[in-house]
Amino acid sequence: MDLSSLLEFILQYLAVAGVYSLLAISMNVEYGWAGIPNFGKAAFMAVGGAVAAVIATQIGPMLFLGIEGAVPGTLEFFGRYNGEILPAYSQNPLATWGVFILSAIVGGAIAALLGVLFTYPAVRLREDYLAIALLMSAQLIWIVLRTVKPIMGGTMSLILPSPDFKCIAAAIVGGTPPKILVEAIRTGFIWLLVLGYLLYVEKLMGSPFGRKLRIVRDDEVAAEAYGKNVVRARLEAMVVGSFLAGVAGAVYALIHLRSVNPDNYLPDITFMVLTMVLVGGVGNNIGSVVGGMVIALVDRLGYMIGTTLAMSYGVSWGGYLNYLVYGVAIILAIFFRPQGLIPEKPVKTPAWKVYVELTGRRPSFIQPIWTRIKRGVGRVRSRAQESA
Amino acid sequence: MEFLIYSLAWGMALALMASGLSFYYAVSKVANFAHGEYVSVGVIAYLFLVGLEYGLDKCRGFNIVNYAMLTLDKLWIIAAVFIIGGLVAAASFVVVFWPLMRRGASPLQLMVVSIGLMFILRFILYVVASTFDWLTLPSPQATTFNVAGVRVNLAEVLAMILAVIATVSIALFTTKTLLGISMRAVADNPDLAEASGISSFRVQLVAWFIGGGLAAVGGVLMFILTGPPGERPIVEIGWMNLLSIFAAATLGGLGSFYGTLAGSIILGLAYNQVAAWLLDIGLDPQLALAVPFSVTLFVLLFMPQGLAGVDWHGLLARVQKKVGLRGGGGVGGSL
Amino acid sequence: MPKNLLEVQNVYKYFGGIRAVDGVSLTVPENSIVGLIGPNGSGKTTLFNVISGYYKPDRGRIIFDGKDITGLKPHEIYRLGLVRTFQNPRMWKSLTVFENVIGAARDQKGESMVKALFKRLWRKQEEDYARQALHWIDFTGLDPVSHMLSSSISGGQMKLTELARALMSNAKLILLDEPAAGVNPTLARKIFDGIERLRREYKLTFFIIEHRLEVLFDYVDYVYVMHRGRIVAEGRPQEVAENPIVVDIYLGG
Repeated sequence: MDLSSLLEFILQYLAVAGVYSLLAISMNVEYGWAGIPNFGKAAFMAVGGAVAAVIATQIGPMLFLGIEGAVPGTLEFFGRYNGEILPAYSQNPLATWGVFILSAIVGGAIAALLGVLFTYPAVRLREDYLAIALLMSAQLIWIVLRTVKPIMGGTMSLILPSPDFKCIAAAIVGGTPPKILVEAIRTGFIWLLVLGYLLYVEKLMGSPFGRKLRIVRDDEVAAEAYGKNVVRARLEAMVVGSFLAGVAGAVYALIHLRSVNPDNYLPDITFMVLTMVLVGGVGNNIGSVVGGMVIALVDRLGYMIGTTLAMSYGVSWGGYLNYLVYGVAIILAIFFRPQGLIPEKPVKTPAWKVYVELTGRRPSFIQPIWTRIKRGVGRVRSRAQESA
Repeated sequence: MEFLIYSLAWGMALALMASGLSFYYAVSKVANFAHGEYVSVGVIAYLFLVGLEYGLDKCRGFNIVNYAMLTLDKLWIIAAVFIIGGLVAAASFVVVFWPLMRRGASPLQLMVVSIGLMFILRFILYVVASTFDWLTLPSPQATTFNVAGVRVNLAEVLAMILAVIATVSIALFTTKTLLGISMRAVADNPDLAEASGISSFRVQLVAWFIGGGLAAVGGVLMFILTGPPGERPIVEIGWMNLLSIFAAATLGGLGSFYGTLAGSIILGLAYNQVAAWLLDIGLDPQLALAVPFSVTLFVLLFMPQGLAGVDWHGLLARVQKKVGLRGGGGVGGSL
Repeated sequence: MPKNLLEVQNVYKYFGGIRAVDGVSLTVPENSIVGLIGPNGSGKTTLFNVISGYYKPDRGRIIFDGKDITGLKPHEIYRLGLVRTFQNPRMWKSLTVFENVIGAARDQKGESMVKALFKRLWRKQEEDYARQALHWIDFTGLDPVSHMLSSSISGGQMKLTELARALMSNAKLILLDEPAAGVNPTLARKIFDGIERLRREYKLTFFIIEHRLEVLFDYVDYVYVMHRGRIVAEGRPQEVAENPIVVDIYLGG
């Protein structure tokens, strides 16, 4: 493998990892911070994708290109879309960005709304009921997307105009930019979004609001006794998580896959995101990013091993190796490390500073895994010295 | 008439799978996502066993037709499928759920771990199904009879008979046998049951075995009634049915055996009616899947205890009052 | 004659055929300590759950501070100034003791999901609450463990954390469900000394379920005795202790 193709592989991996991290952060708000098992995550991503599809085919052309849109599922759609609208987008980089930004905003808003709507029926019930309700709501959305053709065009993949990074690269180096630079800018943009997600969520969670969510998660009965409106707190967590998932859904459709298909939003992806949160760290946002990176690597490796197995040994189950890894990872995480690799941090509101000032003590919290490893190594070493 | 019988049988097959879930949910409180895999295990086991009987060498290739046809002399295979499904469920309880429950895992953690288990079981099934590739070929049918001018097939008859047998035997089991009575005790109050010397482990193990067995047998019948899951691999048949199973169990009130039975039959009739109607007006019958899902959401919103939680006596009294009859108000009645 | 802070008027709560609370009426005057005793399963905790809004009474009314609170949700009742603690301490276990206490503060501006993003809107209040929380931590003697995770402290310390949380919420009336259960006699007396001080210095009102009659009777002004869902006796501690019905219930089981 030469250097440039290695670099390209790494960039592509990082791009996938970034998109996964966005999803994992949004799941972490719900599952990690508020204890809501959002098994309907796929639906909220699908909302982002569906909005992107509608905007790209119907609203965007009118708004950004000045030509009439085409409705998917109609007879003349493919002719007009492939022959007229997509070429127009490729001539007009600004329009592709307009589509992306509008999709992200509208997709996030609609997803947030649906988050409340889907959670409401079971928000007062035990977590398993809530999980089942969300999963079924997600399947309802999937059925709607498959049957209502004017949204995504039914069950076939619909190519979308991805935001144009080539023009940004061209603006930097001038002329025709090398492919690797475009790829790098695209990856950089995704990680910029990850950074934005992290800042937003960290800010939100390092406040009494974050503390309230944890209080409700830890013991909702006591939370009610001390004035927390449990229903409201859960719905708020869903609003934040679903908004982030809706935006991430637009990124997933427009930048990552560059196409939509209802079958991209099956529950498998929800469980994949859940695995990221479990592996990385329940309640820790950095942990979610780590989880996203780990699972993206598993994904890539699984795909490579699967193809190798199929090509060299004629084994066709290689493509399902991912399932095995997810399953084992989930079980190991719950059995041996329920906090994940990087456990949750204390909520550092300004009260924390006052506390440290007045008492001179630092509040304790669950140790991250490396301190445990360090301590373990230290213990082994001291034991070795003793015996020596 | 034939369609009504088909819908009823469909509901009964769903009832077998869903009551399997309810059965161990009552004692262990695990919303088990791997339940669908027990269904798939049943289907794969069935295909494997009929293949074995038919002769494995004859199963290869595309020229075999319907070796998997359900006939009367294959009933022993159904029994074997029950045991295999039960063993897989019991094993997953012993290896995964019981150790976690002993450590005091939350219902949420148990549910999440069941997803992990689901993935692992599904992977194993993928490996099996792609190693013996003839497993994925057949779309089996069943012997048909003519009863008073109405055509019924063996799978339909079997679904109904087995659902009745399962209901009766479970009713006898939970009221007449010591183990069954213990099971109800554990379901009502695990701590108290443990304190009075009932082995919670043994009771739960039996519940999981029966639950897994019911799932596997129900799965085989459903498979024969509806055929393979179309565009998806056969291994995913359990997953395809899982949400309907949850819907039926929730409608019945998770953990209530009779509620689940009633819920499944209602869903069976509603789902098939809607699917037929959709087909009539030229829409994708898959839309009918929306029926179980919306029913579940409705149930959770308005009667979270499901059918089993409805105050039937009170409802009757209220209805009677409205109609003008004098009705005695019952307190806390349930199915 | 002090006014009544809490009035329970003829409250019923049935579970199926079980009459958990069967027509209870009682009053808790302002700035008093009132006890509620009775054997296990007599409906004391159920009554607390009804008062604090966890169960809706089948019949009857509950008046708190002149307002009808029957059927309100627990968090709404909290807002009016009534908090309760739990028989088995319910800690927010992934938070430290300090965070457990400060988390119970009322009307936190930063709890809104929009305001949370703008620190200047709530920083001052949060710092004030931090000082207040440390005050109550000192008061309850939790100082040595305040930095620890609340899941890692002893049962007695959890009881004290519950009390500190209740104090933090700035309530007028505090319902304590067995504040001295499972702690040694010396600590039990210390807890009740603290309650007495709170009544004197902070003008708080307490309504307390307690099994340790020998401790309770030294501190309360008035005692209600519950048996099988009903109030079977009431009066000053001395009167109640000599009441033959009460003796009968406690000796006869």
